[in-house]
Amino acid sequence: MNVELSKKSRDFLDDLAVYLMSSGKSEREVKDVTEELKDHLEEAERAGKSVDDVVGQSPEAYMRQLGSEMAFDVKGVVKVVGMIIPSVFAYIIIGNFIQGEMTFSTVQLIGFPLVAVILLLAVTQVFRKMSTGSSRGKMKTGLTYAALGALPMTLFLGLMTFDLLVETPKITFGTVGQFVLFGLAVLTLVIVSVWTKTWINLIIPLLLFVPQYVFAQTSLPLEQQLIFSMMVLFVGMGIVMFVWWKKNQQEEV
Amino acid sequence: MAMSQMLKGLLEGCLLAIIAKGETYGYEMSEKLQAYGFTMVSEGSIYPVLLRMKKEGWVETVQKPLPSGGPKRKYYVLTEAGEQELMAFRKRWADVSSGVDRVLGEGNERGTFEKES
Repeated sequence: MNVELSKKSRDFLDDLAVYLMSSGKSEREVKDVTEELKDHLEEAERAGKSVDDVVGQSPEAYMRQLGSEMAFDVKGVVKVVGMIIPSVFAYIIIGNFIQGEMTFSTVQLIGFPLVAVILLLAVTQVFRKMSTGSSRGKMKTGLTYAALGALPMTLFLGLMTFDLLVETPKITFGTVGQFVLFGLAVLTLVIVSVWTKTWINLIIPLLLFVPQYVFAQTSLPLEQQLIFSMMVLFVGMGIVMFVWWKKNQQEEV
Repeated sequence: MAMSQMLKGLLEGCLLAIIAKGETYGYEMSEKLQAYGFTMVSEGSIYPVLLRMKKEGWVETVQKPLPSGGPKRKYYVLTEAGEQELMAFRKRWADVSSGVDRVLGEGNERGTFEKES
């Protein structure tokens, strides 16, 4: 009964979802609209029509038309930013806690959330642009993704360099302060996970920090500690992705 | 190319009229439009208009499972405000179309449109 949609239709629906999400529309509304269009495209294809008959001359113009009738989801955006900034601090605090040292400069305190927000903006804007440009060259697409991939490291390195060059007031936490902050950081990650109903914000820190901590207790040389920690992280992430993929596949059927 | 404002308004009125005949869903609406000869717009252009009509409170949507099972389908029904809007549209259309008809009819009687001398 279920006739598979053509690749062109599926691509269009994917592009549309990316475009609307990265334009700050609510996830629920986006799902609503794409599912309705999917239903339409399925019937249209059964009747021998193509995406072009449904969408018209320009998919890009059509996406914009749909987008302009949907409200900007302020609550959703606040939620994402409100989730990312505390999470960034939580990761940094937990990392420092394991290394047993916690000093923050003013540049870092302002810089980390700033970098996080810039990255978020960059990622959404690139995806938004990409989703509407079906005829863009491979070269340009590749370069854009490469630049996007290099951006986090560039920004963090830039921030660190700036931090070294400019002397700003520093806060150093003692043992008690470190434990308090560590507790707050863990609490933050738990709250964010419950709030967003995703486990990823607990799984990644566990994979990232538990091996680091465990290997730090052994007498292994530092390089081996790092290598083993990385291996646990990558294998763990691989397993998580696989489980996720399996789960998604089951839901699609 | 964006649809002209006029065409959008006409599409809105026609969709109101189609939904008024009983609950219906997107593809069915576009089929009906085609059958009536409303072929100036692509099928998909009903969805931005439907989104706006929902925002205005003229229509409501209900999700119902397909007869064949499988995923749910979104059906549209007219609200009270929608019925009033449909009435208002009928009146606007009657005024506009009779006005345009008269203008065109007058032109026909004379055979040609005269140039100003």
